Amino acid sequence: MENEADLISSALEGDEDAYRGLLDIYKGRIFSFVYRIVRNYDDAEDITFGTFIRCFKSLSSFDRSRSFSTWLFSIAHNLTADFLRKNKQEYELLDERLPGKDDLVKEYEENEQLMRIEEALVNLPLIDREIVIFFYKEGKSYKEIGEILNIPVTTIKTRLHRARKKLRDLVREK
Amino acid sequence: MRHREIEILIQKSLDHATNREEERILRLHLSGCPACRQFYQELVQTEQALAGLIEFYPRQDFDDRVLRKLGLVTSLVWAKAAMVLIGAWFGSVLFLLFSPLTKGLFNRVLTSIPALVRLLDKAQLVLSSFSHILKPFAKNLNYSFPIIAFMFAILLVYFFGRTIKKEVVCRA
Repeated sequence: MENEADLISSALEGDEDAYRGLLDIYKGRIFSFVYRIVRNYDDAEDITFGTFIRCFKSLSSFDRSRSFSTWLFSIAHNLTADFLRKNKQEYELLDERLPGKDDLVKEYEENEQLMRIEEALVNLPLIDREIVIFFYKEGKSYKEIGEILNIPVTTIKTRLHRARKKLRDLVREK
Repeated sequence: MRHREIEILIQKSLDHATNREEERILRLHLSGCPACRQFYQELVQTEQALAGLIEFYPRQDFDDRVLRKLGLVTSLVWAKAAMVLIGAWFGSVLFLLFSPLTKGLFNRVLTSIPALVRLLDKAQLVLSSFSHILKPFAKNLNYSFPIIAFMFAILLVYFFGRTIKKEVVCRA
């Protein structure tokens, strides 16, 4: 399998397989991230779609010295934030019925601990949820998370500590 | 050391940011303090659970939709149109070859369009010069058949061209 840098080079030359390769690597990761923020399958798919379109359209302007995944996640973060801003009212109403009532969470039926964590995540403020996902699920460093979210590393550290403790409390309560 | 300070050390330890001395102090405290030990273990369990979260995926046709939007694969509409035309072409070939109605129907159409008749007369003249080649292949050959087949062939080439073409550079 070609590595990421080769895939980007081939994609820039218009190789369809290279685009498919990049989609294979990232579509699940981007979709999971967005889905955990918006908690709606169709909306998450639309945002993921928009993320890849924007990414591929501006691939030629991507700074190759940067991490591709960090760049891609920053696009996903921006589009998600835009979406939530535009649909604020609708999502405020939706939030009241979110925990534990989502179809996809059925996938966790056999793992109660993961189910509890997934539900607890919903109760975190959006920004903290993003930080937790980037740190634990995506294995990003504080610096990379700072680049994606455009906030200082110290803020991320403080928020992560608080989120970690809150998640522990929420999981305990359930 | 106070619990609050230990909590800070625990968080630092989970960030893998403690030095050897801080780690020693932490372990010493945890071994003698059940409350802090439990707090630490629960945080570790939470971390492990977070790392084990499953990945969700968009629908199966997601890749194709993205690539289609970028103009890297041709729209399904064109592929479908080409399929329909192939069917229509085969249908018309069979109809023109075997139907007794062909000649009568075609004559009726021609009589209603005099200009087309004149054009076809000229075409027939050209084709008649090749009749000695064509006749052995189709005894009941009607001259309208190659003309209509030719028109369908042009349409097919056009639609196939649209279907097969892959744009190398993103339109966007």
